[in-house]
Amino acid sequence: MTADQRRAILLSLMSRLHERGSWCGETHVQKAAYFLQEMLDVPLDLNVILYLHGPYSPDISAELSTLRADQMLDVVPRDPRYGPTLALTETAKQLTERNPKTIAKYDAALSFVSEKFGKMNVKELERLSTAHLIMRRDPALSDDEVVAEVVRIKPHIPEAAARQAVREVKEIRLLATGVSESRR
Amino acid sequence: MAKPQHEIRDPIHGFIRLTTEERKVLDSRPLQRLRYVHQLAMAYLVYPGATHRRFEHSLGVMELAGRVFDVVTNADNLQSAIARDIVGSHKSRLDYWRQVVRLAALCHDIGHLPFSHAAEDLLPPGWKHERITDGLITGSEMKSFWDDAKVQAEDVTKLAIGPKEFGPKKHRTVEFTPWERILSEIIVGDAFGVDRMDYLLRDSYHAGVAYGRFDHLRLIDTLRILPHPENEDEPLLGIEEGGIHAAEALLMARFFMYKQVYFHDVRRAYDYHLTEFLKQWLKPEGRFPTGPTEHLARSDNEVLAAITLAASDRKLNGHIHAARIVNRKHFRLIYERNPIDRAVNVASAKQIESNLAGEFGAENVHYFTYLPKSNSIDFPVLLADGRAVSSVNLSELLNRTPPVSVEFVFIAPEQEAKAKKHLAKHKDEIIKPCDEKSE
Repeated sequence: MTADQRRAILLSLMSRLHERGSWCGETHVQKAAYFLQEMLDVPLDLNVILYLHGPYSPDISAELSTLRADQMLDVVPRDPRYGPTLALTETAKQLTERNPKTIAKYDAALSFVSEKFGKMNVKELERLSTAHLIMRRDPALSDDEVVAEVVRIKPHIPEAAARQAVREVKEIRLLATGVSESRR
Repeated sequence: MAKPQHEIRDPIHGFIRLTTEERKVLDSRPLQRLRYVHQLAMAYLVYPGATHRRFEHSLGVMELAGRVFDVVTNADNLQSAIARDIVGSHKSRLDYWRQVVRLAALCHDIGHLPFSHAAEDLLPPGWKHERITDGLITGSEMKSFWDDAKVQAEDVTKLAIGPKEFGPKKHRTVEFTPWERILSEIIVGDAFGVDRMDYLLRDSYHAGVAYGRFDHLRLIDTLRILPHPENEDEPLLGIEEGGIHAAEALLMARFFMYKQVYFHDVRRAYDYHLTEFLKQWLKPEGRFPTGPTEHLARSDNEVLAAITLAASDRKLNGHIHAARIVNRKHFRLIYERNPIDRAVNVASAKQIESNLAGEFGAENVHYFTYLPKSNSIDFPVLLADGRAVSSVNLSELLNRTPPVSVEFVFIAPEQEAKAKKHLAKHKDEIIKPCDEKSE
């Protein structure tokens, strides 16, 4: 995947997140891109680390800065209690329109992620993505072990919420498998 | 009896004071080597005063890191509950962590290659200078210094490099606690890392470019550990409301220094010739070795001596580019990205490069791009009423200052006149957009 294709996918993802009513701040984009790569197997080639709010990719942060520098994204403050929204500009459309094959190839995955995660807030995304990261890094862990690990690395997440996150991730992952396989 | 405090004069920070343990680290081979690595590669060929080295920058970063640590852990500055919790839970070991922060700051650049960033592309795949830094800090070379200072090498390397340079797609994965994240943010953080503060002030001073100055004393005084605006459970480095103008000035300093100094086109042309020379000079591999012994054996001195020799001897590897450097026959800027062309086609610079390479030969054309790596405008700000809010709600300047991103196309000076005429005639045609459908 070329750099332009990766940016086109990110812009298309953000456009769909907006359509689903997402706040579409950096954390929302970070998590949606994480799920796109790690759950839907879209090869974005992102280095993912455990950071603020769970999984985080410095590569996404860099891409968002590049898109701002290219005047494809505007930073829009909306509410002092939260971070800004990232809004697409007219120039952003040019890039997605130039990569129709790439967008078509990952269309189902993009729709799936925006539909499942578009309305979630930062805390919900943090719970689910952290649980998913732990399950993905060590698939042999039992549910109880995943819950314990979530609580260990994110002590502010209550155990019941961590357990609920594991259940939800399993359900969503099952649905995602169908989307990934339909692309093969 | 050993002197407990040592003092070094510094043009930016006045006196920099070190303990005996820190002095030992400063006197170590990895740190002393930085006396011979230019901070700004060959920028001195454009700005004659910019001959400063990584050594003094490392001292400056240590000095500032200690100051920031003292401010953000000061009991009077723990206004937020999250700051009281995180500092309170490390209260018994604050002296230890202060020492780790200062040593990590001192060592954060020891993995730099000759001429700093200019040669970074000549490392083997999967390597960056941070990985060499990690290897040196955790290797045998520096073990005795950490033992003397009673600190753990792993703590030093984590804070020196920061969480973003570790991970599954990097050389190793390391877990950071929120406390360690905050401390590494003090050194290498995007928004308020002292690495950036020092290099802006120092580079500005030596280059004679006033744009890099900002009120760092005020900024440091207002730094606080605050809750993330979107999630009060996560601590971040932010500022008190009174520091917002100093933070804006830092952002502007960065913007102008990138435009004026770091991405000066002639400086970038020299970087290109230097890199091409090094590829030849480092034959057969064409890459820098990564082992500590080989790394420590090379600085700018050896490279400059080789450039001088190669410039006057056609038989030596790298003669062409060495001669271009020594005789100032560097490539010239022929095209730079601009909003008008990018409105037509976001890939205009790449298409111009490709066209010129076809017309005038690939060896006569060079394309350079820099894409920003971080977004440092969104950080928490503590209001007078005790709320922590996102900085973007308070500053139009932060919102509207774009990250710096550049694209240059260079041409050999011998082809410059013809290439200019060619572009004047055909540019509109060359930059016409093409998409996946027409490929």
